Amino acid sequence: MSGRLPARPGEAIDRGRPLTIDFEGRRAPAFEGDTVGSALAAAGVTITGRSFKYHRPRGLMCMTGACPNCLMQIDGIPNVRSCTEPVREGMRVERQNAWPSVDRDVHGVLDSFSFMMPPGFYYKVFQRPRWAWSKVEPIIRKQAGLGKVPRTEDHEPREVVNLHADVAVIGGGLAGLAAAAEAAAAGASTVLLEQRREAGGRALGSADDVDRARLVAEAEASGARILLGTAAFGVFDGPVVAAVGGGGLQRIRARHLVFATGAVEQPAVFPNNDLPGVMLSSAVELLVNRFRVLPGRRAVVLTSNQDGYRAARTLRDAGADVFVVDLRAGAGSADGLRVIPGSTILSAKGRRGVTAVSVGAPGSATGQSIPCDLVVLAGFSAPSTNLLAMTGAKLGFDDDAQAFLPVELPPDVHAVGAVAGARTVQGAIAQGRLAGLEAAAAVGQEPPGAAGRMEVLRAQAAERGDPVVLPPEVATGEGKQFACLCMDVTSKELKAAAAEGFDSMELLKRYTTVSMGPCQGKACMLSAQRLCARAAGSSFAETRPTTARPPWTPVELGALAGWRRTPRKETTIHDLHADSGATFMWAGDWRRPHHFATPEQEVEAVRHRVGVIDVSTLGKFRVKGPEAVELLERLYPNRFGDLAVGRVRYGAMLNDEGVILDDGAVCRVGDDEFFVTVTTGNTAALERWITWWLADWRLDVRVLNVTGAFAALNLAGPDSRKVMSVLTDADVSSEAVKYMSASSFEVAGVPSLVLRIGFVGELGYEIHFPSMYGEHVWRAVMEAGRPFGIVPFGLEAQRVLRLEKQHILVGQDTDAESDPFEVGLGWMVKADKPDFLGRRALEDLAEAGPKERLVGFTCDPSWLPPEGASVVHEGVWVGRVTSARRSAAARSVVGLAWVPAGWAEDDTEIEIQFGGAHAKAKVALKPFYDPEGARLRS
Amino acid sequence: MIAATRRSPIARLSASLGASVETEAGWEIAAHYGDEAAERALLRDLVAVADVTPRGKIDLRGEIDGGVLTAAGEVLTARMWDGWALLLTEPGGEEAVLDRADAAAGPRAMATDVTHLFAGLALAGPKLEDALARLTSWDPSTLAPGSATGASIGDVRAVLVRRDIGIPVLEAYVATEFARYAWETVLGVVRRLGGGPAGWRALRAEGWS
Ligand code: FES
Repeated sequence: MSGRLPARPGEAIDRGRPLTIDFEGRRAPAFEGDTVGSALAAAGVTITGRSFKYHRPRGLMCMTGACPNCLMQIDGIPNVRSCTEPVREGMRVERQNAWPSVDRDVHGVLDSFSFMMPPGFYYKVFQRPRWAWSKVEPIIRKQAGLGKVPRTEDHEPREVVNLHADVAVIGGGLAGLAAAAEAAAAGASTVLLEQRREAGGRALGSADDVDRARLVAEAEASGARILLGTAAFGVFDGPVVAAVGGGGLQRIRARHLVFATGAVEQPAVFPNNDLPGVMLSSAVELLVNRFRVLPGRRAVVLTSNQDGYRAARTLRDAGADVFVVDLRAGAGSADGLRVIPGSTILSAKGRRGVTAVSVGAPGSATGQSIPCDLVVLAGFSAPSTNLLAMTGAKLGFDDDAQAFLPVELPPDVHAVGAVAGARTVQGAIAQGRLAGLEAAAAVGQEPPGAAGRMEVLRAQAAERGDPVVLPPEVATGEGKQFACLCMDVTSKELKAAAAEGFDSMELLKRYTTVSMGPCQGKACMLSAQRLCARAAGSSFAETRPTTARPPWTPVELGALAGWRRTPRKETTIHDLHADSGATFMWAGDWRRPHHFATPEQEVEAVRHRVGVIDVSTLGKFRVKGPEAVELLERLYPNRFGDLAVGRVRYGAMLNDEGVILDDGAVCRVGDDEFFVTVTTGNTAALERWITWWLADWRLDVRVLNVTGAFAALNLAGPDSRKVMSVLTDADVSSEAVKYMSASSFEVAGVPSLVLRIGFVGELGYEIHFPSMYGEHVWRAVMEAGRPFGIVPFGLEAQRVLRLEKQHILVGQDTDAESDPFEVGLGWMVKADKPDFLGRRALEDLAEAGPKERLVGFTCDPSWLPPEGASVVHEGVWVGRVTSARRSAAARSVVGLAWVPAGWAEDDTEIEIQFGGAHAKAKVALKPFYDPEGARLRS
Repeated sequence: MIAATRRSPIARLSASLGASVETEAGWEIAAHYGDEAAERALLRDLVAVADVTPRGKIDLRGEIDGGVLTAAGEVLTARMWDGWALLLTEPGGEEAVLDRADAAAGPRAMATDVTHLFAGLALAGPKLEDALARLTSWDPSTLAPGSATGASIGDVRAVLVRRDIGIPVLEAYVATEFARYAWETVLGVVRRLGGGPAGWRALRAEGWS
């Protein structure tokens, strides 16, 4: 087979626009409008690849993207279906899964060793001696897989597009086109998805293009949005239809879904049914009528209905010598074709392509040999119910269709055309029109006269067509009979698996991998079900298909990923930090400076002069209302009723089990107004937590998360007051701005709320101000601090500084079970106040006493125990390190660790271990630096 | 000491695209990107994005009656639901609106100046819907001109306000900390559709305020 047939109207190729593709280093001619598969067929290429397991030669079979036979590496991308991939000038095309070449694949020898690869062979062979599998497995893994994944990231990220419509029609065959045209014309916003690059479905290959052309024109004129080359691969809750096409992923949300997914023609099972030259009639008609390639000169068509006769006429009219083998005993000669009635194909022969078939009565041992180079399997179809089934549609067996069809649909879901059992063109179109009108009416778009039309259409839609006659499940001849072309699973293997007890479709699938390959059951489910039924001694009707799951068509991972988006939070001072050479780190969603100079230098500056850190990331809430105090009293174990305006109190929020959720500062800024800060990473969760309780308690309070509204700087160090004096006219003496106070005054000309608190253990000011002044205030602080040797400091220095003070980090030093008594915050629990979250649990905990305690420890600085290192006693794990850093102030490693409660005594010796390293450490209950807090209060 | 100016977190990104800065009500505003006419053409024919962070913004929550909204005066009101509204003003207009709203709000309502809480992006042009299709799973057709809702844009939460000024406009207000990420994400989509950034001058010339 090679060359092109004479031009005809309606052909897909544009002979005036020739182009060339690079096929394995050779130039292959093509025309605009060709697919890679059609161009290669025209160039005489019959072997399009090698099979997955046995490396058998395979050729074009379906031309619709429904089988694994034509997967190729195209422009570096593996597993592209060449039969549907449009040609582009200069594209690089290579066949895959062969060495050194597809034409001479040395791995083809595996076909002779198939007895060593029965179903589940990886559980059966190479198990003795015990080391054998470990040697063989890597070889099998290397051998498995198709194509080569490109190592370079040279592709544009894929777009993810969200579409919304009243009606989404999935499938652009005649029924789908009719549905879309009606729905859109009625005024419903309508999207139609068609996986091929042209609409028309099965009619695309037809010599007579009238219905298709008319319906395409009607759908286009209706205003429906038609997305060609867009394959739906899954239906999810919503409903959301996920599809690939248009260069990426499409997510379609529609109020009504119309499934017009058609049916997939199925191969018959007989020996060597996988030889190149064994094709489905859809492929033959497309090649001849659309691409003008004659796939064989001498053809045998196996059929039981008009599809086969149409294919036979197409071939005959194109110049081929044709025999029709009709399964029906009563079939007679039609249209001058040579017909062999009551027969089937018993086997095919050939090595690199089919050369003959044996034809005889079903079940007979021998038959008549007919030389041929093309076998056409026509009219055995399986309705494409997978996507429909993902909506929750119920399927039932239909005797006439010899298939599982939808019998119960969810509301707002419609099924039309072949997927709903229509076997005539007019019936399918009527179903489509009816569904389009019904869907439009359901969304309030019912055109005048619709009711009458729907009545007529209902009658037409009931037309189903002739009952289906399927070929025998299996034939009697010699040779492998493939049920699953993707995974090279034969009828014999399915039978063996069923004999081993894997006798339902779900079990067979998992054990033999049938239907788990690239076609996802499109080209094998019918055969597999029937063979399963036969092997299990049940009927086809009793053998349900496997559960439909996405993806129904292959999807590139890149399409699912889309453009890489990592939402990140940055403070309004971020750019200035970058200018200062900050090294950034992730802190939750935030990008924060880890350090500017070295953490050691930054610690030294804070302890001896002054430093400033950007703490804008702190969560901040405005709490206001007549019952604001009541809200806080219930959320915290602390007391807030007695907190004076202008004062700050440290508090920890607990959950109802008494576990610490968060800690931070609560500032009273008015009689009924508070400014609350919480840990950076907990803000969103606490917002939800507070909102939830507020709704439950129905208190007269408003809470607003104002995190981003305020930038915040912590100016800390013995010289911080001097720097503040430069920045403001306000009195910042220790009398005017007392420790644990909140004062409002301008800093650098910007109205600010200044909190005298000190996480790092030095005299310090936490300055909160409107965030868009961030750069201005930061610059002003650096300018004012320059004479005092100010340095910016990052998170690492802050961690050292806080650890020297034994200030805990919730989430780092605490876990999902830590209560205030265990971490030394029992002082804040006011048991004498009315109810608060966690109270009941705390009463129990207080009575039982803590089992563990979070304590400080010091150890020799020669080894820094990592976070998570074990605390052991006589080789037994008894606790863990949560934080540890080298401290210049303490001249040792300082850290926090969980230990048995009885060990919470100063100078208790503990042993810390990690990997092979270990160190002796001593418990220290007081802060390692300024234990009395004199510097903080100064 | 340097005069206190307010700067959008997006300012540096705008500057790298050639933004020309003007000062208005204490804000640095990206006035144009070198070619106002071209920016107007994008707004009219394709799609463009502008940094409208300097807008004044007042958050009203609690029991909001019509009286508070009337007292707030001539502002763009994004009414999210009964208990929450966002009032949008020209740059610098927030103080006066806050005073009025605060005075009119009863004890069961709270007015807060959230000008600095949100960064604002105005997406405008005939390809607005195409841009949104790439940025959000929310259905833009559900939002009538003049109304507001909450949805995500580029995977971050936003307050969305739909406007009708002859060209379709959607103002998206995202948390300030996400401003730069959101700008990069939205501008990336806008560029892939053939659009680009637009300054305040072009936006105002098209009737936006
Ligand atoms: S021939 Fe291409 S998928 Fe079947």
